[in-house]
Amino acid sequence: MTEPRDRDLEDFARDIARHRRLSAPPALRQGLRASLLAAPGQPAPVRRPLFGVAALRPVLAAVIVLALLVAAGGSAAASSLPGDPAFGLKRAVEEAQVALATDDVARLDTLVTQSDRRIADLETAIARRPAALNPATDEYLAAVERVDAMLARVLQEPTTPARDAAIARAAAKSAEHVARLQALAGRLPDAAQQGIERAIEVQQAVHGKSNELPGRGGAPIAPTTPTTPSATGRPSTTPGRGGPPSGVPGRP
Amino acid sequence: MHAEIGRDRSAEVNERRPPSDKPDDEATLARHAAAGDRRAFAALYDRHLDAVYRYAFFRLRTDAEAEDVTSEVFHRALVTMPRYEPRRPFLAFLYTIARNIVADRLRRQRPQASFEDAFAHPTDAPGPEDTATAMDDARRLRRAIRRLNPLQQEIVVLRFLEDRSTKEIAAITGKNENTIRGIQMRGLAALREILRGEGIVR
Repeated sequence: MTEPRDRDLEDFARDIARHRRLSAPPALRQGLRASLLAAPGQPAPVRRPLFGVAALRPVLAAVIVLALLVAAGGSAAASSLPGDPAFGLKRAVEEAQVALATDDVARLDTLVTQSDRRIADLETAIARRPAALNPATDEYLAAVERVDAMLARVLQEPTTPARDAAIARAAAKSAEHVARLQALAGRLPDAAQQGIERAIEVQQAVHGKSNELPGRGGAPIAPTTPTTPSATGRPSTTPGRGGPPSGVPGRP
Repeated sequence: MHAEIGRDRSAEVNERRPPSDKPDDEATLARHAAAGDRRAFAALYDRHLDAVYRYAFFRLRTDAEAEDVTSEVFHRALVTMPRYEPRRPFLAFLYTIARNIVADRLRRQRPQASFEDAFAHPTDAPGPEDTATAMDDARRLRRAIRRLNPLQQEIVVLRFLEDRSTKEIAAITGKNENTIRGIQMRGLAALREILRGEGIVR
């Protein structure tokens, strides 16, 4: 039998579904159609000019890295935590590292390494600097989202040993991070757990995605809190009780 | 049960879709469009414009942004058509472009998002020709959706406003179906709480 809470939510879903009738304004519809029909022909596959801006990007990034390291004292930045003034420099250097990467596979590897640093920052913040906890959680989430986005791009590429290795590494790291996040969550007050819960959710998504690589099961994800079966015997899907368990102690 | 919400309905919707919406018909159009047939591309545009517009509408702050992004999606799709993989549903291809453009925009506007969200954007105010309650409701819903986390926003919009199946959303977002189900229900419940907090739903 459907629980009252379920029915409420079902009604709510039906209520918002009426917005499916929303359609594009007529002016947009006609204007855009005309502009598409009049647009120049489809270009041939893009070839990068030998000395174009794109080709110069790695060189520019290298110059920026060098300048930043020399000018602002890289060691202070390297040990900074999210929220520190020097952290911006650390991130700028990391951005440059991503720009320097030769392709998306190398970029994924770089971003995975950076997400590893962010979880270390988060652990340091929890252990030694509670004030940095919120920015550290945000930065970690942002790092994982960057991994997630790059992983989606790499998954679209044809299979190569380097690509598969990078995906496998991302899968292994996401499993390791979920375990570390679960360990951290137990040491946090309730209010601070929401960010960790989201981080676990995103990491689980990264793990699920990286395991879609044909022919591999991926690294096992850290054990999570078992889902409580509903009265019907089927897995519960009530909000907060359904879906993949967050793995946060005391939370669904 | 929650995970079932919309699942049966989406099957009904699929059955109700016009014959021209058959996947093979769509694949043929997409193949022609990829080969440079502009009329085939226009047919795909006619078919999917509203879906792309709705996605942009509920993911962005203003009507104007939604229109800009919709326009950018189709122009980008036109340019990248030669690289389109015909086995993939065309709408999934469009959503992928749309979500990348939306993500870029949100990243750029993040520092001001909380401030902007707190107040209705000037262009959100109903104009003289646009006083329909439905549009006002849709804009209220949009403001509430923007208070969800980005992943919840994306999945709630695709599932409950675009009527995409969990499987389709998994293909679009690259996440697994169980993750999608969990997020869609938590997102829906969070959205209801936000609207309740504003006295919009009981």
